[in-house]
Amino acid sequence: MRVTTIPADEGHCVRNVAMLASELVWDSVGVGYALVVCGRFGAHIEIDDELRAALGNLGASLFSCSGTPFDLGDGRSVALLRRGAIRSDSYRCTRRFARYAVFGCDHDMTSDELMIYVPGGAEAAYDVPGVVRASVSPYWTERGADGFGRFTRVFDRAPERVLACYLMSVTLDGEVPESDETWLWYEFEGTGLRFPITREMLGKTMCVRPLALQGGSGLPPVVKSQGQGYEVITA
Amino acid sequence: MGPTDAIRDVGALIDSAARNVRSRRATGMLDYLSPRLPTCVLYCGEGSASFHGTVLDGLQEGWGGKVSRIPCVTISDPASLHQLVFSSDPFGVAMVDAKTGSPLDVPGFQRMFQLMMGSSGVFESMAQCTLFFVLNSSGMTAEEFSSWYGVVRDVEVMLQGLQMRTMLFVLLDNSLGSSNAEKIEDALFSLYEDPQVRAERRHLYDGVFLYGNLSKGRGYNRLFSPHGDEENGDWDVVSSVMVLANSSGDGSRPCEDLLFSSGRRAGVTAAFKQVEKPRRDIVSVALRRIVERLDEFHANVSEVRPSGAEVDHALGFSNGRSDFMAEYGSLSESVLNEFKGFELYLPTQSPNVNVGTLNFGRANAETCGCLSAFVRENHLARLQAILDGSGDSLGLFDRIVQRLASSLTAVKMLSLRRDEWVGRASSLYTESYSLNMIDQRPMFDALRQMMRVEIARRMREETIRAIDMLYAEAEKTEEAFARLRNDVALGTSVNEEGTHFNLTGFYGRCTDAYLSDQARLNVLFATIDRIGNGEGEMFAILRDHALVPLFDLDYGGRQVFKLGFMEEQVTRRAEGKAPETAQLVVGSELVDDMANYIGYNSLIPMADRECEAYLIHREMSGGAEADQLLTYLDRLGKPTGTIRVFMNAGPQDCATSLWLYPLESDHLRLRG
Repeated sequence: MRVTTIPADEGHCVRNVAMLASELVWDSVGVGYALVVCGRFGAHIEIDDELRAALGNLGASLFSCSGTPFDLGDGRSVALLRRGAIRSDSYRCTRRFARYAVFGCDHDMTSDELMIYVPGGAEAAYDVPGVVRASVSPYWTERGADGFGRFTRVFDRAPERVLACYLMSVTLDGEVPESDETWLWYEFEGTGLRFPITREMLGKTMCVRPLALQGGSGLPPVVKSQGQGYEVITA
Repeated sequence: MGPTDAIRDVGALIDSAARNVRSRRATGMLDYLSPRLPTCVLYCGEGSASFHGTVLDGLQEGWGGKVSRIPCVTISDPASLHQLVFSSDPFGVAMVDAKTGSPLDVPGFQRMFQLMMGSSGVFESMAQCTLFFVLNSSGMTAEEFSSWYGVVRDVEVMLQGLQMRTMLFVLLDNSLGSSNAEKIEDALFSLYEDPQVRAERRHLYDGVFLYGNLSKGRGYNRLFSPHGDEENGDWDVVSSVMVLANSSGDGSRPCEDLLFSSGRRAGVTAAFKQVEKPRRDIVSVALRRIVERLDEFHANVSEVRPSGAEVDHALGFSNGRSDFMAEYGSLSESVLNEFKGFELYLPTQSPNVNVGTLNFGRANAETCGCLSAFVRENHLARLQAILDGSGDSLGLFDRIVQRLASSLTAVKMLSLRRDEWVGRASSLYTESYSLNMIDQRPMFDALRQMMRVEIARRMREETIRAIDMLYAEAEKTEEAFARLRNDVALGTSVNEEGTHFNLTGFYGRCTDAYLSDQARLNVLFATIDRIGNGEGEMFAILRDHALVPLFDLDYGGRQVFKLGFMEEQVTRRAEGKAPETAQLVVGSELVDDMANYIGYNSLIPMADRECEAYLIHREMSGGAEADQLLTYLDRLGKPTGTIRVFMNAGPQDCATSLWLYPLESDHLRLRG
C-alpha cells in the first residue's frame, strides 16, 4: 500500500480530540478513516518516513483489523478506524501516560493508496495522563507481642495496639517518566520535606514511620506528584 | 584610590596628567599685584561669556584673591538691557552674574558695585572705576555688533554718578568659512568715524582693543579653540591686557595711557606670545620612561614560569590543602543539621529498621535507593545552592576568580599553557577526594564524604571554568599591554630644542629615581597587568598610580615637577650642562618673531610697538632666575619711544610677552 500525506483543510480534517471516560473522541470532517497514532506523553507526533513505511507494510491488515493497535516497536502504535462503523469517532485507550494523535485519512481502493491529511499546525491530539495508585495503611502491633508480654500477663490486661508504621505501596498505571526521582514523592503534610519514590520502590510495600508530632499520634505519609502527566489516586 | 574611568588614548592621558604638573603659586596676598582701580568685567552675550573661565583664571594669576571682589556680569542682550534701564520695572532681568549664574536686575547690579566700592585695602584708588567689556564678535552681523557697541551708554546710565573709564575688547573671528572679521572692522570704522561719536570722543569707550585669531605671519592661533580653564593659550591675551591696564605700581601706567587712548587713535592691538613650561612634554617623557620600565619588567616576568607553590596558591591551595575546602568544611555539618532526623522517615522494606545505624550501602538497599535519592535532592541540592552564592554572599566561582585574579598578573597566567593550569587544578582536586568504598562506610560518615566530594567536584569544575575565563581575559590584557606600549612609544616623542633642552635626560632621571624602588614597580606592574584590564584602564592606572604620585616626587630636595617656569628651566638646563643660559633661551624665544604674532591684519603697515610688556612670575624661589631673565630682556634693544614693562603676573608656569601696537583709523579701513 502506498501512503501519502496531504495538507489538511477545512473540508478534510480531524479536530477536538478529547477524552470521555477511557474513550478518545473527536470530530472528523470529510474523511473516510481516522488514523490513531499513540506515542510518548507530551511529545509531538508526526507522520514521518518510518511511520509511512510501517503503515505501507501493514497494508490490508490495517483495514481488516479496524481499531486494533499495531505496535511499531519504537514506542509508537497505530490503529485505523473506518468512519461510519459503530463508535467510529471514538477509540478506547489502552495505554496511559501517552499521547494519542488522530489524523483524517482516505483510501483509494483502485490504486491502494492511503492519503493522510496532516494539519499545518499542531496535530489533533490528547495526552492521556498516567495514574499513580498509592495505598497507605496503618500497621498496628500489639505491645504484648513484642517484648512486653510478661507485663500484660501479670496484670491480665488486653494487649495494647500500637501504630508501628504505615505500609505504603505505590504502583503506576502507565510508563515511568524519563525524568529523575523528583516527579514522585511522599511527604508529611506541613513539613515540606520530600522523600523521593524511586523506581525500585514501585510495586513494593514499604514501611514508613509516622511523623512524630508532639501530643499527636503522628502524621501519615502522603504521596504526591509534580507536573502534568500523572494523577495520584490514594486508596 | 577608587576605581577610575578608562581613558580614551595617550593624548587624553597626557592632557589629563599635565594638569597635575601645573605649578600654583603660594596663596599669600603679598605675592600678587593689586588692581589699581575698582574693576568690572562685562560680557556682551553668551558667546562672550564663554571667555569668563579663562579671564577669571588670568585675573587671579595677577591679582590673587582680590578678584573675588570684582563683579563679572553677562549682559543677555543689548535691546532688553536698554528697555530695562529706561522702563519703570526696576526688577526686570537682562543680566546674569557670570560667577554664580544667577540672574541680576538693575538694583542687584548696582549693589555689586556698591559692595566693591566699599571694600577697603583691595584697590589702590577709589577715584574711578574701570569697566572692561568683552565682545566676542564671532558669528555676529554688523548690526548686532553696532547694537552691542552701544551697550556702554546703558551701563553708564545704570552707574550714573560713578567716575569710570571703559575699554572694549573686540575679539575678531577670521576662521575659514565663518569669518566675519571684515564686517565687524567696517562697522567699527563707521562707528569711529560717525560724526556724532566723533564729536564726542571718537569712541564711546576710552579704549578699544582688537585681537583676532589670525596673524599674517603665523596663521591661525587658538583664540577660539575649546580648552580647559587651566590651559594656557592665546585666550589669555584678554586677562593679560586687563592686568596690564589696571594694576598698581608705576610700571604699567604708560601702557594704560596707550590702552585708554581712544581720543587719539582708533584702537590698540597686540602681539601675544607665551613660552610655557613644557608640561605635556614633561608628562610624555615620564610616561614613556614608566612604560619602558614596565616593559622591561614584563619581559623579565614573562621568562619566569611560576613555581609550583605559586600555581597552587593561585588555585587556592596552601601546603597541599585547599583553603576553600577548609572554609567550606563546616558547611557539610550545617547541611546535615538542616536535615537532622530525616533517616527516621525513610521508607524501609521491613518494619523497625533503624537506617541510621547501617552502613550506607545497606541503608540504601533497605530504602530501595530512597536514601541516595533523598541526599541528592536535599543535602546536595542545598550544598549547591550555597556554593552558587546569592545576594551578598559570593558564590564559589566568584571567589575562585577573585583568588586567581588577585594572585596572578596576566603575563604570569600566560606563562603556563591553559592545559597546564587545567591539569594541575584537576590533579589537586581528584587526588584528595573520592567516593571509593562509600558503601562500606557508616551512613553519616558516607554523607559527609559525599558532600566533601561534591564540594571538591564543584571546586574543580569552577576552577577550570575560572581558568578558561581568566585565561582568555589575560590574553586580551596582554594584547592591550602591547598596544599600550606601542601607543605610548608613538605618542610621546618630544622636541628637545631651545627651551625644551634636556627634557628626556632630566625627567627621565627623575622618573628612574621614582621607579628605583622595586616594590613600587612591582605593585604598579601588578595593577597595570591585572587580568581583565583594557588599554583604557591601563591609561587611567598610569595616571592615578604612576604619574600623579610621581609629580609629588622630592628630587634633590625639591618637588621638581612643581617648579615654577623659570626655576624649572634653569634647573633642567643646569642638570644637562646646557651651553646657553636659561635667560638667553627663554628671552630670545619670548621676543623672537613677535611681528608675526600681531593679532590684527591691515594693508597699512603697523607702526612700531609702543609698549613691550613681559608678564613673568618671580616669587617662587625668591625670583633670582626670573630676575636674570628680566635683566636679559631689559638689555635688549628697542625702538625709541617704546615703553618696556615687567609685571609679576600671568600664568605661573609660563612667561608671556605682550607687545602693544596702536591702530589708526586707516588700519581699520584698509584691512589685510
